[in-house]
Amino acid sequence: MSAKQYKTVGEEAWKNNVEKVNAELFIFTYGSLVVQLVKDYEDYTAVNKQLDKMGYNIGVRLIDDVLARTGLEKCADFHSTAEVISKVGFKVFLNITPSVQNWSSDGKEFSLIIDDNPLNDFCELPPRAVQDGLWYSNVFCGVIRGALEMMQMQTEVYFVRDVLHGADVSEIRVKLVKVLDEEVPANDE
Amino acid sequence: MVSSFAKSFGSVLYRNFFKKESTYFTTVVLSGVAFSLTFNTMFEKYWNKKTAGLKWEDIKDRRSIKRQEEMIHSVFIINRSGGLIYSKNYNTHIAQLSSNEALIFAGTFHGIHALATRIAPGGRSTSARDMGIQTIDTKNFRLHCFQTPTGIKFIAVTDLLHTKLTDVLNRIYELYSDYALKNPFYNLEMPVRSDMFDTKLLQLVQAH
Repeated sequence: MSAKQYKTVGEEAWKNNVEKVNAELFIFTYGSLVVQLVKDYEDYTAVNKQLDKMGYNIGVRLIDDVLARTGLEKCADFHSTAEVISKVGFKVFLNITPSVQNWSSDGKEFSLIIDDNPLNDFCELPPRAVQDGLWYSNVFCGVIRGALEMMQMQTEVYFVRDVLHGADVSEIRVKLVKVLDEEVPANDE
Repeated sequence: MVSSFAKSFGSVLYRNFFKKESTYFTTVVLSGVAFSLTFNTMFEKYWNKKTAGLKWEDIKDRRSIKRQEEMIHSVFIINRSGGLIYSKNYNTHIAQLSSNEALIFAGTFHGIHALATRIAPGGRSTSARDMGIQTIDTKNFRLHCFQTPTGIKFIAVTDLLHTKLTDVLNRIYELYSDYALKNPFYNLEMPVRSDMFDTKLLQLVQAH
């Protein structure tokens, strides 16, 4: 399937199969969650880690929802995986389509460029948080990592820059570590 | 001799039936009724014999049996590692698997399914990976399997009239993602115990 077809799949699913909630309720819920984590852990690195963990737990469940609703099949290569993440995954759940850029030469790393992150609305990070490197939307990284792990892809996902840190766009880097061979372990014969 | 007998028979007939107008009339009416009754019963007997086994009374029961055959007998869900996480029987007329047997069935099927994807001609090229076992046919039933890209298997046992069950199995996948996965207290890879899922699945099965 081409990028264009994925786009149609994503738009169809967004239009027909998704229940919408009030965006502000969602943004405030996420905001208060992050703030509570900051209060509890008093350490921004730990907060990043917690957000990533939460995202992971969301991701491993979310992936089946996407697949059940869109009927997509297994991707042939990592390039189409990237297209599905941006054009179907982000579209269905957040109604944004980050662009896929900066492919590494071996085709195992790419960046998702997000211009308009809905979670960032109304949010301004205090200077301390910027200095200590709080990635406010770090939950995305976890979600992507969890979802890809269910598809037998072990990945590393991390924020490179964030609008909230003063960058002009947010960038999430996705790196494929290895493809776990499915079902039967190699020495099971 | 003959003529005298005929003459006497004629006269008996005349004296008893035709002489009086009222008896004549009654005779005609009675014999008419008698004839029509015998004709009707005779013809109905003949008709029933000729159309035996084709009439509504005969096929009414058979149709309802057929209706029962046209159903989904049972549903199984197998997780990524071959564990049985859901099994439900919808037909009381067929033999039931004990829970232990069901677990063995799940594990065995998982293994065979995995092997089937490997023995497919065309090797291990990821683009054309085989889907594994999709149906198993026996003389009396057909087993349908749908594996999601994440490795969960949805299995339905039906009669032979169901040829393609992909839609239904995909609907079960949707129900699973809605009522099991979205429940925050559901643990992944664990048996599904959700009343809501049970109800929705029952509705789905009954509609097919």
